[in-house]
Formats: sequence, C-alpha cells, structure tokens
Amino acid sequence: MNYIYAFLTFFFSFVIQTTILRYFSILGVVPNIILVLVIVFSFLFTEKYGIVYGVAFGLIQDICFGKVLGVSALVYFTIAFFIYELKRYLYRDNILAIIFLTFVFCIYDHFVIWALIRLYGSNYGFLFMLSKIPIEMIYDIILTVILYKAFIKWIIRYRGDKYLW
Amino acid sequence: MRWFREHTKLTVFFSVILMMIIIMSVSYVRSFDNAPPEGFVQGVFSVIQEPVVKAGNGLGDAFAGIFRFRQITRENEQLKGQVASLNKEVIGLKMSQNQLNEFRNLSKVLNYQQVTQNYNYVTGDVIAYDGTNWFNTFTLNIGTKEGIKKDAIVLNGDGLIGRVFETGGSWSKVITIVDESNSVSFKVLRNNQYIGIVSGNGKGKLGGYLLDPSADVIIGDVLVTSGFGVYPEGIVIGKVSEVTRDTNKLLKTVTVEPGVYFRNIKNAMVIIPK
Repeated sequence: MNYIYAFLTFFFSFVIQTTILRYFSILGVVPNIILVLVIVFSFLFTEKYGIVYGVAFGLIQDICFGKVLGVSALVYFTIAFFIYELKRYLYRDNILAIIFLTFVFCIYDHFVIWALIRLYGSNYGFLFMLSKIPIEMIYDIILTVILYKAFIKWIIRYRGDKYLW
Repeated sequence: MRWFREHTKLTVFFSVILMMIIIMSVSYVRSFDNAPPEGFVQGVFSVIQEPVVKAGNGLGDAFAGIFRFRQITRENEQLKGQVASLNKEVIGLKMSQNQLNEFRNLSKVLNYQQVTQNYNYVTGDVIAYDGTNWFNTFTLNIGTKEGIKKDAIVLNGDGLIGRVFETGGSWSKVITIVDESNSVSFKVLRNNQYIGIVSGNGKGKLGGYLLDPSADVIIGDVLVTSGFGVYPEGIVIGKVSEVTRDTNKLLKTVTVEPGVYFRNIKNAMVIIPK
C-alpha cells in the first residue's frame, strides 16, 4: 500500500458513494464508506493515509454537496488524529478493537456534524438525527469488518524483513 | 515558539482545526459561486459520476424488471385504464384550450399584460447523489450553459423538489424543500381560499401553519404553491399528514408529507424565468 493505491481506494469509494450506493440502502439509510475507510486506514497503517485523504475527500464531499465547506473534512481529520493517538493502546490484530472504534466514531461523526450544521443555520432535529444512527452504525460496522479483512493482508507484519512479502 | 516546537502534534492538530473553522466561516458568510477551484472539482467529478449513475440506473431498472414483473403487469393494466379516462379528459380540455386561446387573443387586442406563461423549462438528469444520510442534495447535468441561475426552482412530475443553490458550466446542485428553513407559501387545492406557509421542519418533512385558524383543512388535502413569492402558482407540494390546532397561539399547524420521494429522483425540471 502506498499513497497512490490509497488515493485510488478513496476515489472509487467516493464515486460509488455518490452514485450507485443508494441501491443498497436499508430504509433509506446508506453506510458512510469514506468514514469507514478513514477509520480502517488510520488504524491499520502507520503512514498518514487516514489523515491526508480524510481531509482531502472530506473537502471534496463538502465541495460537491455541502452548503458549508469543511464540515466533513474537520470531522474526518479529528477522527483520524484520535485513532493515530489511540492506536498504541489497542491491539491491531484484534477485530473487536476496530469494531469498537467504528461504534464510537460513528456516534461522534453524527454529533459533531449535527452541532456544526446547527451552528451554521440549519434546523435539523436532534431526535431525527439520533433515529438515523442505529441502522447506519450496523451498516458501517459490517463494512468495517469487510474492509479490515481485505486490508490487513497489505500490512508487513515484521517491518525488518520486508523481502518476505 | 519553543513550546510549539516541543509540541508539534498538538500544534498541527489545533492549526488544522483553526484552518477548517476559518474555511467554514468564510464559505458560510460568502458562498463561492463559480469560484475556480470549486467549479473545477465539481466539473471533474461530474464527468466521472455521470456514466456511473447512468449505468447504475440501467442495471437497477433491469433487475427491478426481472424481480417485479407481476407487479409491473398489474400496473400496466391499471395504467391502460387511466390512459383511456385521461384521453377523454384531454379532448374536453382541448376544447377549453381553444376557448382560452381566443380569450388570450382578445386580451392581446386589449393590450392586457400577461401574467402567466413567463417561464421556460429545462430538463436534466441526476448525475450524483449526496451519499450521506443528512440531506437529499443532488447534482443535475445542466448548468449556466442552459441558462440556469442560482435560486431557480426545480420540480418533477410528482411536485416541487426545491431550488438550485449553486451552479456552474454544466452542473447545478439542488437542495430540496425539506432540507431548508426557507418558507413556501401554499394554498389548499380543494379550496383556494385557505392559504398558509410551510418550510422544512428538520425531521424530513414539511411543517407550517394556515393564515386562517378556522380554515377546515383535513388529513389528505393536497397543497399547491400559491404563486406568492418566488414559486410559480400551482406546483404540488404534498399531502397533509397531520393537523393540530394550537389554542395558545391561535394557529392551525400542519405537517406535510412531500409529494416527491427525494431519494429516488432520476431527472428533474428547472424553471427559468423569461
């Protein structure tokens, strides 16, 4: 995994997210692939893919759909940053650790975005926001497990003998 | 300065957050219409998104056709019946259209200022959906080249969708009425006397009130735009799903289910004033 592969992953996910993902919605709720990618990449890789592409694709998402620039970029940046800091207390091979992270940051994502869009003049209901969390969280956790299983193979387990891989 | 050098991580963290807050505030205060970087990013992505959406729609339709053929045959029978009855209506309306044209000619003779027929329509396909669950924003493949301006009204066959909030060369972003707190003035289709105001209530529906608290509006009443303000007259807004009478404020409030299912829009029409 290098920066180009990471970019392509984010790019295709973004295109899928904005085009055909709605065919896979449950009760009108779709998962947030970019959020899951930010969590998985920040958790698995020591390089800063999560932070760099979190901010970049957060900004692109805001440019393409948001009324206020930088809301998603700020959220993805803080999530990636927190995970880089939390990582040393969590065991990378344990899948429960990343499920826990998705659980926490899915709620965090909703609360912060809700607070920010309220601050910038929307009348989005708090209970309406809360009612959308459970389904999206389940969906995000399923996606996290799939992506975690897919990307854990990319990691060089012993950084000394890279010729092994 | 030394403190910053010793705490690089914290410095980076807070400077990025500060930068984001500045970007947010600036973009909130003045919206960047057609600003070069934003327009460029939007343009690039719309080129990529358009074919993917079209392919997805094609596949989706094909699968829907395979799995729901019974339902579609039944629908077909129903629609045939509807076509027959509508044809009869069309004939009747054509006759009154002829009368109307005569009246129009007369009004031209009398130099009477026309109020209606002041709009052009442009139809476009949806090329991208807001992938999140927050709003129902989407992008259309038509833009300033077709003459679309900011705040143009967007609708489809089911009713009012919303307005264009940003536009560029060949794309325009649409925000729906349920996502906004801007008001739309309505009248009840059953009785033109009853007028009122609705806006997005922040819960995925519309909420509003009637100007006359004694107006008898019932659940299921169809609301259409009244023609006051920016929206042209007679566009369906939705159906009343709840009526409550607030005795303290002496107001009759209504909750409205929009006529359009916003998650499933494939194309839309934009109104351009002449």
